[in-house]
Amino acid sequence: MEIIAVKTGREMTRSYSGLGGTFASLAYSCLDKKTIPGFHEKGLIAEAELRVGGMLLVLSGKRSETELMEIMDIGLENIGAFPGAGKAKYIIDVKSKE
Amino acid sequence: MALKTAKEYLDSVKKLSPRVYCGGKWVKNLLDNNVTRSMVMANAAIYDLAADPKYKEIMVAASHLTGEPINRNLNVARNLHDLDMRQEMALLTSQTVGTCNYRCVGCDALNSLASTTWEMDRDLKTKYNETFNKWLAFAQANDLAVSGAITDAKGDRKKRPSQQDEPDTFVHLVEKRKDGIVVRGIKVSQSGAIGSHETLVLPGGALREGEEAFALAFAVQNSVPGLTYICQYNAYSAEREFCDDESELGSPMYGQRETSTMVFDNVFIPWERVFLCGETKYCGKMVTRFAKAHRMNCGGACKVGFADLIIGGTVLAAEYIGVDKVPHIQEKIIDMVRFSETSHACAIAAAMRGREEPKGSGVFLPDDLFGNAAKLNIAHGFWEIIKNAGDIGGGLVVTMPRQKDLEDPEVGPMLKKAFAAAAPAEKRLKVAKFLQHWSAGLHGPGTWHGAGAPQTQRFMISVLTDFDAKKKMAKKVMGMKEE
Repeated sequence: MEIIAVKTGREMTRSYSGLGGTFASLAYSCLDKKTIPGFHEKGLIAEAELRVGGMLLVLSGKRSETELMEIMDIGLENIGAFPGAGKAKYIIDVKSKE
Repeated sequence: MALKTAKEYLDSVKKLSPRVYCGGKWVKNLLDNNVTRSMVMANAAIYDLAADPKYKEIMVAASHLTGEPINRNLNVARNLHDLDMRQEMALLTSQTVGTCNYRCVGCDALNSLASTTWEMDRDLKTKYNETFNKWLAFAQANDLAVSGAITDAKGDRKKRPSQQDEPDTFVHLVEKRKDGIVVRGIKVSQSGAIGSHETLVLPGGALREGEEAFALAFAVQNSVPGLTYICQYNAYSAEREFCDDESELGSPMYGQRETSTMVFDNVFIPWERVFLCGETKYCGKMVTRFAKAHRMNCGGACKVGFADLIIGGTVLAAEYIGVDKVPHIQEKIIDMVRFSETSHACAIAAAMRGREEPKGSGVFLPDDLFGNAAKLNIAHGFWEIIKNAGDIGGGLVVTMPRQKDLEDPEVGPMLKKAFAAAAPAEKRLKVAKFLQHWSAGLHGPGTWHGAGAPQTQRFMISVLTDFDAKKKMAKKVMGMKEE
């Protein structure tokens, strides 16, 4: 299993557990398709960058940490990752553009 | 969690956002659209069955990977009892929802994958079976709804996949990456992927050397970017979409049967979900093994469950007009049972004569000849069954007014007078609508083509039958000397 941690600020972190390759699916969506799984409209992702052990994701518009987490929750569940605990193999740092 | 409840399944679907187009519109939420909701509710009913202690033997199995209880839709058959319960599940689910068990194709696909990936690893020293088992354990642990996509759009049938003017008529490889593959192309007539967590994609047929790009088997998540579902749309879809009261429909809750065209536009599949990539030699085996499982289940059990419903409706229709004791009516109803139960007998025989394939794999598949006989028999028998339903149900099956018209203050009393017989007009119209759903609906061609059109079964039966042995037997009894 692959544990992915999502950080949307200093306080908020949530972990997801998916089959191996889940992070690769998410990275392809964000970097190549310029979208988050489950969100079909263009323009949601302002910036996406792979980093060692994870990814930086900047979403367009002004969004609270909770809103960012809600988006990521939908995105991850739409590629088969569910809330779960464990040592994260990947960390996704999610920020709001404004 | 090993077994999801229907509520948990519905909660999980609320979070899915597949890109779905249905009847001229993009569907934002599967549960808000009358047509797509019928598919999701049918799946939910299948989850409900697994939670019912009465059906535990049929609907629940023990995972061969973990020993944990799992939904039988995610089970790999390991013995004859598993095969028998698999076909009983197909019967039960059809009797319950009167439409697809939308996890059925996925179940038969995963049994084919369990068998074929094992063989590939043995022969080629690949790791496909290990990869597949990890995916399966994940699907079982989360009780995922898994559908299957087999049939490519196929284009010009005279041409091989690589010769098509439009390469997307077959799902094919675009790019091999370090972390996975990118695929594109079109699968058609796919049942229930829109409301499934994952879909298993298999090659549509046997492939030759040089066609490696089309040799693909993988699992794809419901809502990956690049994947679009274009739903079927027909008179029944429109009726459901625009009706103000679904209770008036022939199958109010679960609908006719919802399929979609799946368009893969450069979809990424991580290696952890890839179970065949380029090994053309094994595509024929993979499809054949899927077909032999599916012909037993789809042909010899699922459609028998439909027939049970049609026969039930037909007997009610006969009673409601007072002809249930008329000899030729009884004869026609007995014929309906004969067609149906003959197919079910073939399915039971296919299960009980099943065998481990390949030897050493631990995977049991049904007997091919009986499975093909089951499907071919019901393909023809189903037309007879719906013909008799239309015959006994009478012209009313297609000439009836709306059920709701009975409540109209002006025409209601006229209609009640016109259609009351041995039962009130309400009951007659209700059962007529139910029979319309079957006899004037989508299930005739659906049964004909589902699990492969009859010509494929005829071909398989011709290959599987030892005609020389039969000739020899005949000659011996005739006293004819061997040449």
